[in-house]
Amino acid sequence: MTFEELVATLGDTARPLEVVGDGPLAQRLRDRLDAAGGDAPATIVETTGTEAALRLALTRVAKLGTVVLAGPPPVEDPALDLYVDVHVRGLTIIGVEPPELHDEAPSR
Amino acid sequence: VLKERAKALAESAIERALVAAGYEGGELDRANLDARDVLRTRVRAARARRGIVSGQAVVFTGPGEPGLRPVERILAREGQVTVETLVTAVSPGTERAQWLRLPNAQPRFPYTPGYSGVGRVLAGGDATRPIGSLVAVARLPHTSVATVPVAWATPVPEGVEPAEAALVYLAIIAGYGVRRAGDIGGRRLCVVGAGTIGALALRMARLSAPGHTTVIATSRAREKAMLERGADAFRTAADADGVGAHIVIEATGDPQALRTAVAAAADGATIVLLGSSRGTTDAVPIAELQRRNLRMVGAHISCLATEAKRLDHDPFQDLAGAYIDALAGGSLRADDLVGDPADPRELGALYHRLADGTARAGYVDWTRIPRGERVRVGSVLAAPSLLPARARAVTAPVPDTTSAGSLRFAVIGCGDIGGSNAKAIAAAGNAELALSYDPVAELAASTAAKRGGRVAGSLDEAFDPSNVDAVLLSVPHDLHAPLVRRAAEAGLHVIVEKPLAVDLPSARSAIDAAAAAGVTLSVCFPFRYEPELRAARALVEAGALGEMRGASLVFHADKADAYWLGGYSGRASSDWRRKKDRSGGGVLLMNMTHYIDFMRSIGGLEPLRVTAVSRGDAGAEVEDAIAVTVEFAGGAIGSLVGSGSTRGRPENRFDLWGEHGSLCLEPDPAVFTTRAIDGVAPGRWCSLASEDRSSPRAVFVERFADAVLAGREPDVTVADAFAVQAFVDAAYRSMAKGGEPVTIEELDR
Repeated sequence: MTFEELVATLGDTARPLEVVGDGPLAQRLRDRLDAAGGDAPATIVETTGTEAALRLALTRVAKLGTVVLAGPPPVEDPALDLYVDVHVRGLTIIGVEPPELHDEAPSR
Repeated sequence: VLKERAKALAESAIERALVAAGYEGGELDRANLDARDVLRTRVRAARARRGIVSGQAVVFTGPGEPGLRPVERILAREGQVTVETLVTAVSPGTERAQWLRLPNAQPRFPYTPGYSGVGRVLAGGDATRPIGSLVAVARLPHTSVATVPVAWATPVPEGVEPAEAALVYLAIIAGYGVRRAGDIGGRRLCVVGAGTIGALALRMARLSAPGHTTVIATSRAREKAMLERGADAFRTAADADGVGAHIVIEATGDPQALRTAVAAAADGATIVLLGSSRGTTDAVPIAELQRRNLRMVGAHISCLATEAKRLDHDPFQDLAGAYIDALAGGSLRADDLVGDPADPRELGALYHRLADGTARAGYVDWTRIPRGERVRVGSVLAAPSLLPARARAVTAPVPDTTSAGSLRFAVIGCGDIGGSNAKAIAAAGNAELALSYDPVAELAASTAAKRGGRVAGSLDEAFDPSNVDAVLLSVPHDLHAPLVRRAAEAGLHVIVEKPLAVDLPSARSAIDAAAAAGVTLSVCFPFRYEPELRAARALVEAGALGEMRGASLVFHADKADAYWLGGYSGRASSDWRRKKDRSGGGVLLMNMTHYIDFMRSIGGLEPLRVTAVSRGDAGAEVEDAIAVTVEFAGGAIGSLVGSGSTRGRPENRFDLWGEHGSLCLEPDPAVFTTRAIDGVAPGRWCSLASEDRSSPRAVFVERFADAVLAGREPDVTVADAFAVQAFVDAAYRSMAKGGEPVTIEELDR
C-alpha cells in the first residue's frame, strides 16, 4: 500500500479518526484527511514509529477500532501484551510501508 | 437507609444462625456467601412469583481449591429456559490457564469456571426447545442447573453426542475468529495451534470452503487427528516459512507464537489473534508488518457481543446453529476434542492433568452425582441445602467372623502386654483363655484370676495340644523364635506379640518352623483394627490417595528410667529391654513397628532402600532415638523420626499422601481427597470415625481365631511380619554402617 493509497483508503474509513504524532508526516496526513479528534476514535494512524506513540494509539483507539502503522519502522521491535493491547479489544493493526519523504517535493 | 438496615439485620441473622449451626473459620465465610446468594435469589424469586431450582456449582474459593457449592436459580420466565445440566465442556486453554494463574487468566475468588454445556430443558423454553428436549447452552459455567435466555440454548438433535455439542461456546469463539478474517472462500488458510480452539477454528473455517489449509503445531502429536478432520497439510512451528497463507489464525495462547504466524503468512495476509496470549510478546515485528503489508486482527469473544449490538440478528445463535447443524449433518466432527469424562467432584484432578500435560481435554459429567443432589425444584419457602458445617466422619466396619467354634489359648508371659493379650482373648467371641504361664507364678495366677482359665505349672503343660489349640507369646523378643518353633512342633497355632523375632534370621526360622508344621503364625499388630485405621485403609483402597507419594512419622515417648528395668508398670522386673541381644532394638523395633506396618497395610508402601542414624540417650545398648529415611517401590519417599525420651512428649504426627489426597492418622485422624468417594466430601478434610471403641486387640484375636477355624490366612500374614522385621533390620544395618543406605534386597545375602 502506497501513501496515496493509504490516504484514499482512510478517506473511506469511519469517523472519528485520529492521527498520532506531531511530525511532518502527521501534519501532512491531517491536512489531507482533515481528521477530526475526539475520544475513542475508530481509527488511529500512527506516523512516528516510536514505541510511545504506538502504545498511545493502542490505548486511545475505540474497541473494534483500527490502528494504522504508517510511521518509519521502529528502531527496535517493541514488546507488547497482545492480549490486552489487541486481542481483547478486537483491534485491527494494519502495517503500511511509509513513504520516503525526502524524495518528495514540499507540499506547499 | 431502611433498606440498608434491613440488609444488615438479615446478614447478621444469617451469621448468627450459621455460627449456632457449628460453622467456623473458612467454612463460616463460605457458608455466609452461600446463604446470602440463596437469600438474594429467593427474594428475587418471591418478587417474580416464581419457584426455584437448587443444584451445585464448581466454585474456586482459592488457588487450586475447586469444590462443589450449593446454588439456587429462579425458574425460567417467558423468554428464558431452565436447564438441568448433563455435561459441561472444559476449556483446556483458558481453564488450565486459570488453574495455573497465568497472566491474563486470574479471575478473582470466588469464581465458577466453565464455558458451555448440554442439558435438558427443565422449565420455560419455547416450541423449538420444549421441556425435556436437549439443548446446547453457551456461556454456561460448571453448574448443575441454570436459567438463561432462550437464545443461548441451541436445540441438539438426537444422535449428536452431548459431550461434542457441549463444546458449543468454544466453537462460537473459534467461529468468531474465522469470521474476523473476512471472506475466506478459496483462500489459503493456516491455523497455528492444534489445541481445541485451533482444531475448532479449522473445522468451522472448513464450513466456508477455504482453499488449501495448513495446521502448524509445536509437535506432531495431533498431526493424524488434524489431517483426518480437515487439514490439507501439517507442519511444525520450525517449518512455518513458506506456507504463504492469505489468512493465518493464531490459536495457541503462546505470546511468542506470533512469529510463527508471521512466518506462515503471505505478503498482504490477515493474521487473526484468536488465542488469548498469556504473557508479553517479546518483539512484535512492527517493521515486518509494515514492509509486508500484514494486517493483525484481535478476535476476543467479547467483541462479538459489541458487534451484535449493531446487527439485526444474533451472531452467537448463527455460529452455535452452524456448529450443531454441522455435527448433526456429519460435516464436522469433534469426537477427538472432548477427552474423558470427569466427576464434578473431581474437577481439580482433571485440571491437574491438563496442567501437567497428561490430559489434553476433558469434560464434566454431571450425571455422576445422584440426581437428587444436583436438581431439586422447590418453592422459595423450602429449607435451603447448604453444605454441612463439618464433613461427616468416615467409617469402615470390621469384617464379620464366618466360622463356628472357639480356639483355646495359652498366654505365655503375663507381664504388661501379656495381661492385655489375656484380656483380649477373654473378650474375643471365638476364643477362650485356657491357660496362663509365666516363670513368675504370681503373675500367671493374677492373670488367670482376672481373665479366666487356669495357671499352667510349666511350659510343657502350656504347650500341650490336649490343653490348648494356640499360644499367644508375650515374652522378651529373644524368646519369640524358640517358642514359635516349640509351638509348631506341638502343632499349635501361634500369635507373637510384635515384633516377630529379635532379628531377621530368627524371624526367618520362626516362619520356616510354622510352615513346616502347617500351623498358623501371626504377629500382633492390633491397631490395624482401630476404627480410624480401618476407615483409612478402606479409603486408600477406594482410591482416595491415588498413587502413593510419601509417608512421614514423628513419634515421641517419654519413657521413665524405670521402664528399662520393668516396663511401663514395673509388673515384671527385667532389664531385657536394655540388651541388644535380648530385645533386638530400641524405639524403632519396640514402638515404631506399628507405623511401619501401617505404611504397608494402609498405604501399600513396600520399602526398597533405608538409611538411618540414631542416638542412645537412656544408657541402654539399644537406640533411644532414630531418624530413618526410606525409598519405597513406586517412587514414594518416607521419613520416620522417633524418640523414647522426649521430655513433655509432644504430639505424634503421622501422615500418608498420594497424588489425589492425604491421610493424617495422628494426632487427629482425617482424610483430604480430590476424588469422588462415597461418604467423603472432596476438597474438604473429613474426620475418620472414632466412635466405635471396641478393643482392637480383642478384634485381632477374634480375626486370628476365625482365620484358623475357617482355614484361611490370617489378616497379618507372616509376609507382613517379616517385611516389618526386614525394614527394622535394614535400618539397624544402616546405623552400623554410619548411615549408609541399605537395600531390602541385600538383606537376603
